[in-house]
Amino acid sequence: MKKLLGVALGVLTAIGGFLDIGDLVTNAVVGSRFGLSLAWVVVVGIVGICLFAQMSGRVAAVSGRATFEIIRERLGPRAAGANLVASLLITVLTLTAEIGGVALALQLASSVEPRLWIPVAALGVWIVIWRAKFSIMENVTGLVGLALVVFAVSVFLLDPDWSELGHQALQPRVPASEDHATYWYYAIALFGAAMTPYEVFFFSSGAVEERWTAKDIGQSRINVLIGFPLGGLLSVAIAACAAIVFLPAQVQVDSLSQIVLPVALAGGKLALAVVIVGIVAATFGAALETGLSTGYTLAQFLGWSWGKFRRPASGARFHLTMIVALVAAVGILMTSVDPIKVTEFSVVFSAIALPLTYLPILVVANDREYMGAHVNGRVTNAFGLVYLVIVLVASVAAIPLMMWTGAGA
Amino acid sequence: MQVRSVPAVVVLAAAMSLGGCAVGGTQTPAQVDEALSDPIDQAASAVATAALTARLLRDDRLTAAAADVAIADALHEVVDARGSLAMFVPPDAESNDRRTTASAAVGLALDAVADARAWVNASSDGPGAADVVAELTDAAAALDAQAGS
Amino acid sequence: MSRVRRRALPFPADEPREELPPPEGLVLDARLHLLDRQVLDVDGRPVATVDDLELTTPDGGEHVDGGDDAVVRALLSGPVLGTRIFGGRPPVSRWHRIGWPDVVEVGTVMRLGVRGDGLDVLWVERWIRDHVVGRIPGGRHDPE
Repeated sequence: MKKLLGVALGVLTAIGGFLDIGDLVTNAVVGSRFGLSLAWVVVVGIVGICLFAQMSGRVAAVSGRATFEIIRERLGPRAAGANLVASLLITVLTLTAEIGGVALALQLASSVEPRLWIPVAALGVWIVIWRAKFSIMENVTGLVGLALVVFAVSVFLLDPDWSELGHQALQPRVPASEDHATYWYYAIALFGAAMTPYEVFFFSSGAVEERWTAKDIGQSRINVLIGFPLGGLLSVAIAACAAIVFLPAQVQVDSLSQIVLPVALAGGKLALAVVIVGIVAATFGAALETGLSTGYTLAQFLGWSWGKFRRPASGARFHLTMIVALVAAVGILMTSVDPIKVTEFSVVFSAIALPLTYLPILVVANDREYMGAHVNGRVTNAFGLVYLVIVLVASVAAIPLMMWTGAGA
Repeated sequence: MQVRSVPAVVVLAAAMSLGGCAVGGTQTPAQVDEALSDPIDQAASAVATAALTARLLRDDRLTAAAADVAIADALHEVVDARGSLAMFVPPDAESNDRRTTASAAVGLALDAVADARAWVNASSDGPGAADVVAELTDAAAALDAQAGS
Repeated sequence: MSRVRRRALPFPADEPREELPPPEGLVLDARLHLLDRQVLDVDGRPVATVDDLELTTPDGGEHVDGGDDAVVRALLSGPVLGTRIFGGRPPVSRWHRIGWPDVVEVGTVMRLGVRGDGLDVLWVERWIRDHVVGRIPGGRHDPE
């Protein structure tokens, strides 16, 4: 019975912790412009993130080392250094977007200007990183983030034309009001939102934090293979809500306040309260993860003492890195830049950085010296290679499409 | 010979592309259409959002705080649209006329959304819910007419 | 360094080479086994990553690249990473050294027989701990 509860907790936390501001914004924008005709990208992204999260968790569980440590050992300081620079930049950008998301959600609840919430949100993130235990942090934000299920509930309450939605999803075509280049640009953005680079480093470092061994691989597999797809289903629900309410009226989604309107339409003030709580939890959780990832990647590359299981005094440089990253994020946000714009850029740049971050994991997961008998099977490797190609294509196409479409305008 | 002409080609290409960005320069009809229709679409989208927000608040399905944020965001969009139209330099008399009528429609939208915001904040004895929704609907119709033309 | 032409070799290319006796001690491939490895102290705490190596000849003299047998005298960390990637060599006074006698085990990670607290290589960590992190409330407590 206790084991069952443990499994359930793991799955629920994975679902609730899956969505972040990138998923929220990108899915809503895509839903309002393309309906569900890009839902297939979410499926592709989910399979990819499951594959690579599983690999990185297995690497950490079997070798006891986090992926970035092994990347430097296996690929050398130059390649790992390039990887580090790209990962750090993307992760700090994503951290900025997440903290902005927390501030926007708090604005929705209180009508207080986001700029006043930004330092509060960053301070909150820091305090949790400073003092809270890793597992408590993950479980609380994951479970509260489950409130975003209200998007799925709203789809039903809005009583949509199911055949129309199904038609859009299963027979995707570019809507008449949009052109092909924009369609593919948003496909890449959605892909980058689903397959965030920091997820892999966080997952493997988290496995070391929670002291996983080879026995935990099974549990992690269940969490990933059940939790992530259900989280992906929530992404599609967000797109569906936007498709039902905004697509017919040709409304452009530019703000978080618009994203919650379909939920209010479906379920009134109660649903609104639930969705705001869910957004705060999801973005706060993602801010914690990205903040920690900045520390993890730098500390693991340079061989510093790291980990939330240690007291901050025992991981001084690790914690200082995260403080600097948070200050940088706050600095960027206080220039009054629109967090939604930051989010839209962060997902596209995530897609660009994906090959750099995913190829090393594929290499390391095949290394017998670290993995022993747990190296990738042939099926995993086949999928891994297919995804490497997909990721490379998306990365190479991203910038030209961005320039051609004016960042999706 | 080939090596020496490369810098010249680069300079020429740069000059031509910069020339294309010159203010009030030659614009294709497609660019003119886009410069006039994008702000209309943006304003129409904002008006639709404001109308939805107003209806939800009227039906007590939305908190005042969230409604205020949503309408304020919509107002920002309409202000942006009006700014884009103002910055547009019409190349001929016909597009100047089009810009004037478009500007009038966007101005109507601005007033409607601003009134909606005042109503949400209940800061004046001004329009009630029905008036606000009616005003937004009128503005939306005017913008639709513009988009159609 | 100019390229050595085949006809300029000081000995015929197909001359049989004498078998040298195997060197004493553990033979390691520097790049495979030593460089970029994590170094842990006796308590299992991370100390540094091996960024570079200090090599000497078996008699303790200055080691010349591509020359005689090399003996590892110390593991280096810190600023040498930049020069290893981009070239050059910082002055000896800037090297953060972990003396080879401190190394106890060479494997996937390298273990030392001493505690990290006493090592030069961790001076930045100690400084930040004492002057930044330690000063913030709660810095010296375990997470709860």
